[in-house]
Amino acid sequence: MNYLVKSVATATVGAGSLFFASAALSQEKLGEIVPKLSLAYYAADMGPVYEQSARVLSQEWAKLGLEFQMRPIQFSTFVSDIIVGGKLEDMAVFSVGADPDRIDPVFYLNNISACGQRANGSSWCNEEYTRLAEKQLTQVNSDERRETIHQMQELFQSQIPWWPVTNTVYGILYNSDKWENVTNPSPVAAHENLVDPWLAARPLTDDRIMDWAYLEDVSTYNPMSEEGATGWMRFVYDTFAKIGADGKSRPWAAESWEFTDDTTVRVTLRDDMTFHDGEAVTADDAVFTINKIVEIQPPTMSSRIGNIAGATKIDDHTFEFNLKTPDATFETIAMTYLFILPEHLWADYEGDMVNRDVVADGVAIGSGPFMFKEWRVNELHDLRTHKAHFAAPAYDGIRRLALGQADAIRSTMLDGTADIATTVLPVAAMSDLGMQEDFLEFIEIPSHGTMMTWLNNTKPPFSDLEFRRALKTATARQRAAIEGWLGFAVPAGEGNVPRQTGQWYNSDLEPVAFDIDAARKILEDAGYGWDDDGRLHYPVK
Amino acid sequence: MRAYITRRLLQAILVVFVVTTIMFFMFRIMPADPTTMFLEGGMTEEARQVLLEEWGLNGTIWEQYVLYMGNLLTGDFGNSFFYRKPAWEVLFPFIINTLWIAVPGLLLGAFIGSALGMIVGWAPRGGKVERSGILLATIIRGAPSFVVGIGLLAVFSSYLNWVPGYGMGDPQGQTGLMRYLNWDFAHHLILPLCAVIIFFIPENLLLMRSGVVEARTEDYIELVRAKGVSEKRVAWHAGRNSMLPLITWLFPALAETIAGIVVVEIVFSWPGVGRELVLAVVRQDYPVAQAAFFLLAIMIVLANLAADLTYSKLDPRVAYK
Repeated sequence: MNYLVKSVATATVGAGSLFFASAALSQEKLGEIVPKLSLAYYAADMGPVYEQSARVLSQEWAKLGLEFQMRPIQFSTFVSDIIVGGKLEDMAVFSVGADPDRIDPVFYLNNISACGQRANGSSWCNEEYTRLAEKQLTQVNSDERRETIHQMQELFQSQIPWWPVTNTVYGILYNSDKWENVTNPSPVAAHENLVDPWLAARPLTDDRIMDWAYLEDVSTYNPMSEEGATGWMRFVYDTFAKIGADGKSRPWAAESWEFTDDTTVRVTLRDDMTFHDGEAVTADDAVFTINKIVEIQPPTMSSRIGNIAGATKIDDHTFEFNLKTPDATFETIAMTYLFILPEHLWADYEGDMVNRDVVADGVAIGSGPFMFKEWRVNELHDLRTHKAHFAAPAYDGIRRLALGQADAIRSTMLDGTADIATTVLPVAAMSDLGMQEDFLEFIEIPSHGTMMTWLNNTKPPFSDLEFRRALKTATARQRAAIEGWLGFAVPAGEGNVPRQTGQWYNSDLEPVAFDIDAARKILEDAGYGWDDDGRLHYPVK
Repeated sequence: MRAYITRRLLQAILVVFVVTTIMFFMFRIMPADPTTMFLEGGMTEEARQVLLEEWGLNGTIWEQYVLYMGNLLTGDFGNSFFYRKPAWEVLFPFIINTLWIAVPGLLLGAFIGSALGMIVGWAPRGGKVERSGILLATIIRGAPSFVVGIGLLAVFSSYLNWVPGYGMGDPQGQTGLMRYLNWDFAHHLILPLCAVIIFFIPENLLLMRSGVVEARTEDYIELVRAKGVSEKRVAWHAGRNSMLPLITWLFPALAETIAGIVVVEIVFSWPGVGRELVLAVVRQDYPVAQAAFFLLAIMIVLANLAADLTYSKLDPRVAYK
């Protein structure tokens, strides 16, 4: 019996020793543990979708043996610290909106991806990529530019410094008993700088004023200082071009334009335009406005006017933009943004033009499709249709109701006070209201707005390409779209340019399918390992 | 008395100075400055510096502080970063809008609350009326004003559709002075006004009840009763003598109303100073936010002073030295 006990004890001790020895040996093959990673995202002030998306994505990434510290950050702090402040600790999940001018891919290609850019928060710097980024900016021939941009995306995809997760679906809710032909502006959100749906809509009743239920106020009617409500300003002040539903610039106040050389754009204005006070719009007004803007450099316009040297009149309806350097984005970003001021109302003004109170001075006058009527601060803006406009809508005016909160917007839509609501309500809520009420119609707007994952490329483990590759392979884009965005998003494409930008997206990029096992294999092949608790360890140095 | 007033005024100046200083530094220790949102849109660094200089945000924080306090002494609150005009010009119309719900709300809340307080205080101790009154006051006092507001919205606006639940008037309504003198404005006023009234009922009810409960055992009440007057008349005597704390409470309550009405204005989309204050903080419009806080500090300090002085006038037993 004693012998038996001794044998069992010896065997147990032996097996235990073997187990611990093997374990120790296997632990020796592991490098340091990958520390808990910080995952920053927009806090609840931007809605619940970011919290939910970050949780969904981190759940899948955790299957690689990672742990996360979730860090919700208030929107403006997020922008100042992470997007433009270079203070990304490890990872971030956030989105950028479907602004009309971002249909040009320069924001994605240059601003957030190239060396030295302030908004390059993932701190990836590739000299070859940046050289191409600068090159494409100067390629005014769109075929040549497209080729360079596709090449950039291939390079980006091979390095995957960050990646898009989903593309946002926006919405419009409108009263279909009162309005028809409310057209879809996709792939751009319903921005007032567009024709769709604003100028296309037609009234079905005697109520010929469109009431738009919105959250926020406009800060001023001076287009040189407004930053947030630039679209609303463009209802009053015509731009030279507009972005159409196809995402391309189309003639507006400018009947046509052409690059006469790399830095000169000759513009021919329409000859049937008048300002709201009845004065004709001429090249003198356009040249005055452009040269005045170049002279005083309004700060809020700086991102779009920096490359303009001035303007020169050719004849009454023709003038030339003089650019400092060739600019391939000029048509999409500058011509759809720049406006025309009436020279006869501004030329003799001696005060600070940027801060001029145009409402108090009675000069909120442009040539746009709507004329200023009234502004009740924090209540409403009332514009009336400029009937003489070449694209005057088939109704008599538009009011923007500054309601301040989503419940009030919902109430105004239900009681018929408001006719249209856009992205100010959660898209799912708009969709539900459209299904619940016969008189409300919901339009889905698939857009190029993008939720993306950023990594701090300057530190391990993100400085390792194989780790980034594994992380992207473990990114559950479909889950994020369904669970994070309640279905009002679609899984994003590859590279860094949204698929919705059309010709600029390189559809030849190899798709990276979501596959946790494949992601673990990538890590294993790269020398990473897992301990008994399943935590990921770096390769042994 | 003169020495007392002088001393209180000096204290008031000190309080306002401290509040103004705290507000100044509070906004500036926030991680993002007001140009942040422009940076996301691609504003150049040169343009940002121009804006920071224009807005007085480019020096050290002490230089900014000295400049701000110097301007404040001359009555200059600075220009709104958002509206690009003087902060006071921005706030003034909103103050008028706020007073439309604050003053009637406070007075009606005080009237209804004190009437209920008198009934509850005069009712038999421990009876149904007293217990129900105290329970009602406790529930209302415990409910945040946004809960009351949302409840009113849900029932009277969304469900019954009796009154509008947002804004100050129909978008197609009248403008100028006439917008305040018509049924449409009154119709829009009903719900936010009710929310403010309900907000003030419990405090008045409990103050009045305490006073009446105390007064009903006083000798003069027995004397009134001995005269053979009706019980209602006796209760009126008790109530009238219990109003002193209420009247003095009304002064700071008005200032508190302006400060506390923020939530009501947000819930009902009422374009008042409270809603603008919240928007100014969100937009990081420092001059407007600081001017609004400065105004509130002044109002609260002066209201407290007025309450103390009124107290001494109403009750000759109170003397200040």
